Amino acid sequence: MEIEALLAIAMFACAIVALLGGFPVALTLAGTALIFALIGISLNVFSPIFLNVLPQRILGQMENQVLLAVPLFVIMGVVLERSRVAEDLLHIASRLLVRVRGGLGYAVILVGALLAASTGIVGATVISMTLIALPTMLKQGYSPRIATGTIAAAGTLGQIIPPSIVLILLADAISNANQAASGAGHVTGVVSVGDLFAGALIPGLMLVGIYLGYIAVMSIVRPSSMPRTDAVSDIDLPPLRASEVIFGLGAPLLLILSVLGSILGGLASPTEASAIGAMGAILLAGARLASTNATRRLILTGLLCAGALALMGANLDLRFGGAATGFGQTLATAFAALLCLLLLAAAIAALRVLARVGQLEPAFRSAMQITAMVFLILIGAALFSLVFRGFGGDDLVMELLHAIPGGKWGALVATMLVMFVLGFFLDFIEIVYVVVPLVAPPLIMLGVDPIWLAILMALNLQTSFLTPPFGFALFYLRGAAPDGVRTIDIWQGALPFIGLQVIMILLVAAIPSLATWLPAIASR
Amino acid sequence: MTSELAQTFLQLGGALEWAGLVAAPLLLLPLATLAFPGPLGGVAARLAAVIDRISGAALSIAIWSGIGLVLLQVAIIVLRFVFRVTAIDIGPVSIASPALNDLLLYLFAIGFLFASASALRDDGHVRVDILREQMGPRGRALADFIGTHLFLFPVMILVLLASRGWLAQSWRIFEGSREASGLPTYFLFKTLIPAFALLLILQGLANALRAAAILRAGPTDAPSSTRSAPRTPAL
Repeated sequence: MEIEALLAIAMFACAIVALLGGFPVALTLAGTALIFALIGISLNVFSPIFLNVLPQRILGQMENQVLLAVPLFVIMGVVLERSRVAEDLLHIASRLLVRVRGGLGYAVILVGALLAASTGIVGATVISMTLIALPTMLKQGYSPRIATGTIAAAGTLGQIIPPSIVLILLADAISNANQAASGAGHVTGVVSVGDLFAGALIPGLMLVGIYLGYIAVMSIVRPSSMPRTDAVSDIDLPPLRASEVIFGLGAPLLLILSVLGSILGGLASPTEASAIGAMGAILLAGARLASTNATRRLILTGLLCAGALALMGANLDLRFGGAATGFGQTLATAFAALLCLLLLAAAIAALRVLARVGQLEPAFRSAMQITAMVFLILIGAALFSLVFRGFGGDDLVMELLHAIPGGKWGALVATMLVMFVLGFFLDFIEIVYVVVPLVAPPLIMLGVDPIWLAILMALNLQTSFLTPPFGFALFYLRGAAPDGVRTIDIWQGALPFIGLQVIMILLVAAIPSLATWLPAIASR
Repeated sequence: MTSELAQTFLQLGGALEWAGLVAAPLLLLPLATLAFPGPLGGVAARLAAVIDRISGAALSIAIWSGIGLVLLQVAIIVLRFVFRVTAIDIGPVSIASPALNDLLLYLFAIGFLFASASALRDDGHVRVDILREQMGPRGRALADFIGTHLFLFPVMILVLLASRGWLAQSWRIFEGSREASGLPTYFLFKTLIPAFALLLILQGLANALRAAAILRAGPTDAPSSTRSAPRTPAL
C-alpha cells in the first residue's frame, strides 16, 4: 500500500482515539489533521498548498448565504425556550390531553415534534423536555421506561422534522457532494435546503404518527404503565381559558407553520424564513413576559402588523413613486409604512421586555455560542477533509465503496453502518462535515438519489443517538433525569423506539418516493 | 495616495507580525508555570482573568451582531417584498441592496467568529465525553493542557500564517466588495479571520494556564475554581 494511503488511514484512526481524550471535537479533528499534514510534508508526500487554502475555506463559510440561517434558527429556538413559550406549550398540551390515557405521552411527542422545528441539535430538546415533562410523568405514575423512552425519542425528532439546523447543514454538505459528483460527469439536479426540508417532511410526520401509535397501543396493552390522572393535579388548577390555549398553543404553532410554509411554498428562502421565525419568537416571548397590558398589546399589534404586511406585500403594488401612482396606491403605501413603524416599535418593546427580565443577554449569548460551536466544527472538519483529500483519501474511500459487493445497495448499507457507529461518539454536525463529503459523491455516482440519501442518513443518525449504551440522547437524558430513574430503565425505554426507527428507515429505503415525492412537487 | 496609505498599513502589519513572534514564547507560559509555580503562579492567574475579559468583550460584540442580524434581515425582507425597493436613499446617502447584503454577512461572520473564544471559555464547544466523566479533574485538566498545545495553538497559528500573504494582497489594494455597489471594506471582512484565530489562541492560553494550576495543585486538593462544573450542554 502507498504511504499516502497509510497516512490517510492512520490519520482517521488517530483522530478517533484523540477524540476520546475529551478535548473539543473541532480542534481535535483539525489538530490531528495538521500533525499528519506536517508528517506528510516532511516525507514529501503532501503538498502544503492544501494547508494554505484554509483561510479561504473559513471565508467561504463567512459568505455562505445558506448557513446564515443557522444563527437565526438557533436564536428562534433559544428565545422560545428561554421565554418559557416552549414550557407553556407542553403544559397546555398535556392538560388538554389529561383525560386521555397516555395523554402526557402524546403531548410530549407532539411538543417534541414542534420544538424540533426550531432547534434540532440533540441535547436541547431532550434536556428541556426531561426537565419539564419527566417529573410530571413520573408523578402521574408513568412507568419510568415509557416516560424516558418517549422523551428521548421525541427529543431526537428535532433532527428530522424541518426546519432543523442539521438538515440545513446536511443540505450544504450534500449539495457540495452533488456538485463534486456532477463535476466527475454524473449529472443530477441541484439540491437545496428547501428540497431537504420537503424531503424530510413526510418521513418526519410518519415518524410522529408511528410514535403516537405506539403510545396508543401501549395504553391498551399495558394500561398500568400510563395511568390516567383522575384527581392528581388537575383539579387544583383553574380550568384552561380559551385565550390561554389560543395564545400558548396557537401562536407558536402558527409561527412554526408560517416559517415552514413560506420555505416549502417557495415564498422565502430558508434564510429569510429563519429571520422571520427569529423575529416572531422575540415578539412572542415579549408578549409572554410583558408585565403591563399596554406593552403586551403593543407587541401583539406588532405581530398582526407583520401578518398584514405580508398580505399587503403579496397583493398590492406598494412601490414608492411608481409610474402610475394613484391616490389609492399612495394611501396604501403610507399605510404599509405605518405598519412597519408599528412592527419596529413592537420589536423594540419586545427586546426591552426580554432585557428587563434578564433574558435578552443570556438568550443571545447562548445562541451565539452555539452558532460559534457549530462553525468551529465546520472549520475543523474543513481542515480535516482538506488533509484527508491531500493524501488521496477520497479516492481510497471511493475505491472501497466500489469494491463492496452488491453495488449501490452494498455501498449504501456499508455507509449507513459506519455512520451509525460514528453516531455513538460524534454529533450530527461533525459526521455531516467529515463523512458526507467523503462518501456522498461516490454514492451519488453509483446512482443514489441525493435527497433520498440525505433523509436516510438523517433517520439513521437519529436512531444512533437513541441506541444504548452510547446514544447521545440517552446521555443528555441521564444527565437531566432525577437520580431515582435507573439507567437501565432509560436503556430499555429506548429499545421499542429504536425498533420503530428501524421500521421507518426500512420504509424509506424501500419506498424512496416517501422522501423524493414532495421535493419534486415543491420545486415545480 | 492610496498606495502610500496601503504601504503604511502593510508596515503596520509587518510590525504586528514581529510583535506576534516576540509574544509567541508566551504560549510556553503554562509549561513554565509547571516548572516554576512560585513566581509565575500569580502572574498566570491574573493573565488568565484578563484574557477571560477580552473574550467576554468579543462575545458582547457577537451578541449585538446577533440582534442586529435579526433586525437587518427582517428590514431587508420588508424592503424587498413589501415595498420592492432595491436601495434606500436618505438625502445624498444611498444604501444599495448589495451593501445591505454585505452588512448582513458582516454581522453573521462577526457573530460566530467573535463568540468562539468565549464558547471555549465557557466550555461550549462539543466534546466527546464518554471517557471524560471518569477522568476526574486532574485527568480533564491534563487533556485540556495537552490538547491546547498539541491542537489549538498549531491550528490557529496555521490560520494566522496561511492568511498572511493573502491578506496583505487584499489590504494593498483595499479590496472592496465583489458587487459593484457593495461595501468597500472587503479587506476588513477578511481580517476577521486572523482576529478570530488570535482570540482563540488567547483563550487557549488562559485555559492552559488554568489547567496547569490544577495539575500543580496535586492529586489531593484540586482547586474548585476549575471549569469542570457540569457543562451546560450546547442546545
